[in-house]
Amino acid sequence: MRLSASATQQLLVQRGIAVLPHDVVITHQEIERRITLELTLDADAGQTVLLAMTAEQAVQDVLRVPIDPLLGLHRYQVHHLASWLDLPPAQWEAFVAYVLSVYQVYVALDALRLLLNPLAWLRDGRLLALGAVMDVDSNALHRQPQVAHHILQARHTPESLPIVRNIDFDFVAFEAVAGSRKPRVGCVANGAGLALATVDALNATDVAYASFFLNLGHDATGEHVLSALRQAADQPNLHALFLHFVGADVACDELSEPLLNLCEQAGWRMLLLVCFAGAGAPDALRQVQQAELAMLKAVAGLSRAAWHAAKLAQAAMGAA
Amino acid sequence: MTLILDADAGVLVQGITGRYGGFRAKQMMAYGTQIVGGVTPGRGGEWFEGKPVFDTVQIAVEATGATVSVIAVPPDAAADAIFEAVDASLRMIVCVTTGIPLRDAVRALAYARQHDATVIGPGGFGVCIPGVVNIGAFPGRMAHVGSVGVVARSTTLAYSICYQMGVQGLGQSMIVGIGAGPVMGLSFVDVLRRFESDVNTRQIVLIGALGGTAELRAANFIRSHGTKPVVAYIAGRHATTQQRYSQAGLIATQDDETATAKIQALQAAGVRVAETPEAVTDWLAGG
Repeated sequence: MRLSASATQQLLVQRGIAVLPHDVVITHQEIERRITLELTLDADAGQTVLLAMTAEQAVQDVLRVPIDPLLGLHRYQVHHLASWLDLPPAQWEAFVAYVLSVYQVYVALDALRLLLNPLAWLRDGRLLALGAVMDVDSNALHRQPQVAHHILQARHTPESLPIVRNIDFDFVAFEAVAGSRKPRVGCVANGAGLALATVDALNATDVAYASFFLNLGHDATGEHVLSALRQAADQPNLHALFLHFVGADVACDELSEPLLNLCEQAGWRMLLLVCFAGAGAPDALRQVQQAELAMLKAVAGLSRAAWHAAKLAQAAMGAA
Repeated sequence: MTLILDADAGVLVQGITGRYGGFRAKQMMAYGTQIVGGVTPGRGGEWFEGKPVFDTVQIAVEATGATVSVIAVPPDAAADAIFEAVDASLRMIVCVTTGIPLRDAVRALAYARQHDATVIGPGGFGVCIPGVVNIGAFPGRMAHVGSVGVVARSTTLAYSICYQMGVQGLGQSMIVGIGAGPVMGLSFVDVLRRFESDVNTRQIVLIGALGGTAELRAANFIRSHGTKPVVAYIAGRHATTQQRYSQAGLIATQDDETATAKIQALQAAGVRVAETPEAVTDWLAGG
């Protein structure tokens, strides 16, 4: 989750990291030397790495300093970096203190990536980041109130989706395809991988395309599902909803009756196609099919269900 | 990390008196897993469904001889729970908790690696050998005895595919959920290595998604060491890059983290990559 440039600058400055204010301009003549410095998570190695590159070097000449997750960044590792950069001895002390402070802030803010580009030595002797980019861990926002505040201020999640306003990464709206006359379908599933598979299956029909992705999590209850569907149905320019539900801790047949009730309500106007799989799927499928509601259909098998959802949406768009 | 599983191993549940931990413990007991007790700090001396509750993992291990722990505690407590299990000399730890702050997960996994402890997860459903043992969160009723080894990052996709396998009369030799996060303990390669040496496994299903490069390493392993047929499904073909799709960290930030790149790498390694989840079972059934 990326913070805005102004939020990043504010958070760093508050913690004593020198970053150029937005309303200040530095000329090339004022800069003596510049490098790129980055702290980032190397997921494959399971550790953070410090990357450094000078303005004169090719990308393949990046210095890579792995940081032990249990021990943190050592002073000697920054000495190694200073030596590699061939810094004059007079600049070492300030540089080492700066980099160690940056690492401490990176850790303290639960950042996943902190890029200082460029980090510049000015001719007046100051060490200053002229640009900064920070990605933070959304799983840690509850213990980062300042970071969370900045994210809430910048959030674009629709007001009509309060259920996901606190977990915006589980609701992803897809851009409308310019000039496309295909209907749009909202994809909802109880699992992130499952929701991605649902979007894939729908788009593969080439009849309709996914308007959004909404993951309810694999522990979603019937109440969560209904609440999400009510709010998802209010999304603009939507022609149908496609729910893919795999029964496990909550079986599909626990969901079928509430879904029937939802779609029988006088105010319900959105076509809903449900694909059931897993525990209770055959019974749930049978119950929905036997009800023969106009606004609710159930189909087994993801590909078949996606095709039906696309055709329903196409019919809805034609009727509009 | 190595997946060595003793079907008779005594299993502890860290967080057994919590709603989620208690639910998982009951599900595992119903499957026949040897749950020997649980741990909840401050609740030592209580009982849960006939199993003793201990204050610490160390006390629980000394009292029960447990060798495996299932961690089902809130996200903020999960890393500490892993540290505690490792310090109590447990070498097989299944962490089903999702949404753990990444820095916590990285530190806990590093500590486990230092002590040669195997962690499944965090955020995976654990491991199930159908008809034998179920350690973690896999819904037992979707497991069927058979000869297909299943390894997955996505939890509900694995449920869906195993369910469909059952409908088509197919079963599994082992089902392993390694978690969808950017960092994980047991990897695809660790599990594939186990499947290669397992005489009960004749075919392999690999369920991946966009984000990270675990599937690329799996493809390299299969190309170099694979002798058994592998069918894969990778979710996220139509997903946009730079967009995070879940708490677990499904996000492709580099070109090699996209579903397309993974599909190409797996196909180049001789893996059949299905376009839909149901095509996986169709192919397994001989289609």
